Amino acid sequence: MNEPRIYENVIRIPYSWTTGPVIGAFLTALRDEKKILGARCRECKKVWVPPSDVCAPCNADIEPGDLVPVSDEGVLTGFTRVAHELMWRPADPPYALVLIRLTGADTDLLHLVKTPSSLDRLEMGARVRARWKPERTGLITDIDEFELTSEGNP
Amino acid sequence: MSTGRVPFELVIPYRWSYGGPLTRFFEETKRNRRFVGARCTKCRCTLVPPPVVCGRCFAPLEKDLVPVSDQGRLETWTTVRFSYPGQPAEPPYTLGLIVLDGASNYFPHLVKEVEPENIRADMRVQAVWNPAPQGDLLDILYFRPL
Amino acid sequence: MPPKVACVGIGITEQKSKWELTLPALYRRAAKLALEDAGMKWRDVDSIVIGNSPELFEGVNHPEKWIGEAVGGYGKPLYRVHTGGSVGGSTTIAGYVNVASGMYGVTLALSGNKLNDCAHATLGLSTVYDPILGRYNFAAGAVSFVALQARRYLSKYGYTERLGALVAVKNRVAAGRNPTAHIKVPDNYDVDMALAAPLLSDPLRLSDCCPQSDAACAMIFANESRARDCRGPVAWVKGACAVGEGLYYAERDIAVPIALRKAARTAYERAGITNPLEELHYVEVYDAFSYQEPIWYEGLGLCEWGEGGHLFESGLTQRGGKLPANMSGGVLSSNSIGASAMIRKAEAALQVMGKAGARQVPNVSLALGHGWGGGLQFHTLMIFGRDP
Repeated sequence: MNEPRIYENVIRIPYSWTTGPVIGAFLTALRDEKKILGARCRECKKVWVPPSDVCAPCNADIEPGDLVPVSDEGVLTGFTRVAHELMWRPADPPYALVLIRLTGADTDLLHLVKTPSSLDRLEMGARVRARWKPERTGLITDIDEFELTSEGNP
Repeated sequence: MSTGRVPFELVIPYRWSYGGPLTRFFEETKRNRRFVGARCTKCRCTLVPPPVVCGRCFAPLEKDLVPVSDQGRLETWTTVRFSYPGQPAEPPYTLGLIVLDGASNYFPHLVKEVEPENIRADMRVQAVWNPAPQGDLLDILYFRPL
Repeated sequence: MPPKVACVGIGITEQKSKWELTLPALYRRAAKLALEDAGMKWRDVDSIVIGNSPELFEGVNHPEKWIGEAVGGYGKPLYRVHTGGSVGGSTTIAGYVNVASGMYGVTLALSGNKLNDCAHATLGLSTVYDPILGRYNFAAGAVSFVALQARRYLSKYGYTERLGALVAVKNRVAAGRNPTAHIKVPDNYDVDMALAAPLLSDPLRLSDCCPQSDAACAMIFANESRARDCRGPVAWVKGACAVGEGLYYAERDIAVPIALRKAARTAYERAGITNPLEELHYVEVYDAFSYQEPIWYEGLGLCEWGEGGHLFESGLTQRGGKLPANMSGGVLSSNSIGASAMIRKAEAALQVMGKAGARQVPNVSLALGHGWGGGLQFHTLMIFGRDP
C-alpha cells in the first residue's frame, strides 16, 4: 500500500484592517512626527503603550483625546536573543526581542534590538533609545530597532 | 484625529494528506479512468469520492473500494455568471450535482456541451475524461448529456 | 425542566459596508447597546460568550483574546464559540445555557464579523471547505451552492423564479422600517424590479442574494431573579435546539432540510408547541438567499414538504398576515454572517418584548429565530415567549 498522497498549497488572503481613531492616531504620530503616543486611562491614570481603545482592567473607554506623548527612550524589562529561523520573523537572526518600559509609560513595549554591539550588552535595566527609519509608513516598524544608549550603561 | 487601514497579506503554506481512500480514488481516475466509492458496512450506501466514515449513519466503511459508473443523473445545476476567487472555470459555466449510477451521494462537477436553457432535472450525463490526467478532480474535464 | 431564562437586553449595531472601528470596538458598541437596553452595568455581567468564525474573515485567530478585553472580559469567565456560519445561533444558545445551567446569573453573548476587512469574503469562506476537493480550483462558493439548492427546489416542486422575487420584495421592503438594516430599496420596489436584476448563478439574481456587511450583536441572558432587576420587558426562552447534517452524505436532498425538521421538533417539544403555524406569532428565518425562506418554512414544520412556496404565496407570512416572517428585512437585507444568526433570534425576542419599533408586529407573545451554516447543514433555533 502506498503512502497517502500529499497536497501542497497556500492560504493567501489580503486584508485591510481598520485601526479605529486611537490606533490610527498612534500610527500617524509614528509616521509623521517620530513620536510615540500612549493612552492614559481616565480612571486608573495608567499610560498604555502601545495604546488601546479600552483600558481592560478598568473597562474604560479610551479616546484620541487621552493620548499623551511618551519618551522614545526607556529601560529594558525583558529580552531574549533569537537564534532560530521563523517564517514571519521581524529581522534576520541574530536579533533580540525586547520589552521596554519607555519613560512616561506604565506598560512594556515589545520591540527589537539588532545592532551587534547592543546585542552583546543586553541586561535588565539597560537604557535604550529608538532608532527611527528615515522613510516611515505608519507601523510599529517605523522604529527600526532600539539601541543601547551610551549614557547610563557600562 | 486620524483613522487608517493597515494592509497585510496572510500567507500560510500547508501540506495536507489526501488520506488513504482519496489517494486510491485519484489513482483510479488517473490510471484507470474510473470512479471508485466506499460502501457503508451498516446502511450499504456507496459514497463517491470515498470519505472516512458514512455521513448518514456514522458506521465504518468497507476497506475495499467498489467501482462506480461514470454515468449518472443530474439532480441539480446552476450556470455561474460572475467571477469569484477559486472558481472552477471562467464564467459562464455550469456546475452540477450528479448522482452516479451505483453511488448514493452527490458528486459535484462541471456540465458542458448543453445550453443552460436545455438542461433538465434528472438528465442522464456522462463523464468526459481528461486525456492528460494529473490525479485530481480535473481528471474529469466535465460531464455531458448522454 | 431547565430553570427559566430570559433575554433581558439586546444590542444590534448598524449593519453596513465598512465600519471604521476595529472588530473589538464594534463588539463593544453592541455590548453597550445591550447593557443600556437592559438597564444593567458591566459589573452585572457574570460571564461572557464571544462568537466569531470563520476567523479568516478578519484574519485574526483566537479573536476572543482581542475582543474579550473590549467587552468587559478582564477577570471574568469568558467562552469562545466557533461554528462557522452558524456561529451567531450557537453563541446565542451557549449564552442561554450559561444561565440555564445554573453556573451564572447573567451572561453577555456577542457575535459579529467585519466581512469587509478582507479583500474578498469568499477567500476566507473558501477555507471552511476540504482543501483537496472543494477549495483551490473547485470552490463552489456560497452563491453557487445555494443556487444548486434553489434550482433543486424549483424543479422538484414546480415553483418559478417569481417565488424568489416575491420573497425579495417582502424582505427588502420590510428593511425600510429597520434602522440597522444594510440594504434599503426604493418605496416602489416590486417583483418586476427584482426580476430585472442581473443573474449571478441561476436561478439566483442579485436581488435574491444577501449583501456583505460588517455588524455585531449582543444579547444578555439572565435567570429569573436577576431578570427582575432589569429595565424590562424581557423575552423568556421557551425552547432551543441545534442539529446538523453532513455535506455529501447518502441520499441527501439539499432542498429537504431534515436537520432543521429535527431541531424544530425538539425545540417545539421543549416550548410545548404542537402546531407551530397556529401557535407562533412571529418568525425570523435565515434567508441569505430568497428561495431559502419557503424551504426553511418546510423545515420548521409550518407546512408539509414542498408546500413552502404555497405558504408564502398565501400571504400568511406578510406584514399583517397570520404569521409575519422577517420583518427586519432578514439576512437578504443585512449579512455580516457572524452576527446574522444571532440577530434572527434577537429580532424574534425584540418582537416579544414589544421593542421592534417601526417593524413591530402587534401582539407577539411567541416568536422563533432560526440560523443556518456550513453547506446548508447546521441549524439553530430559539423560541421566545412573553411569559416565563
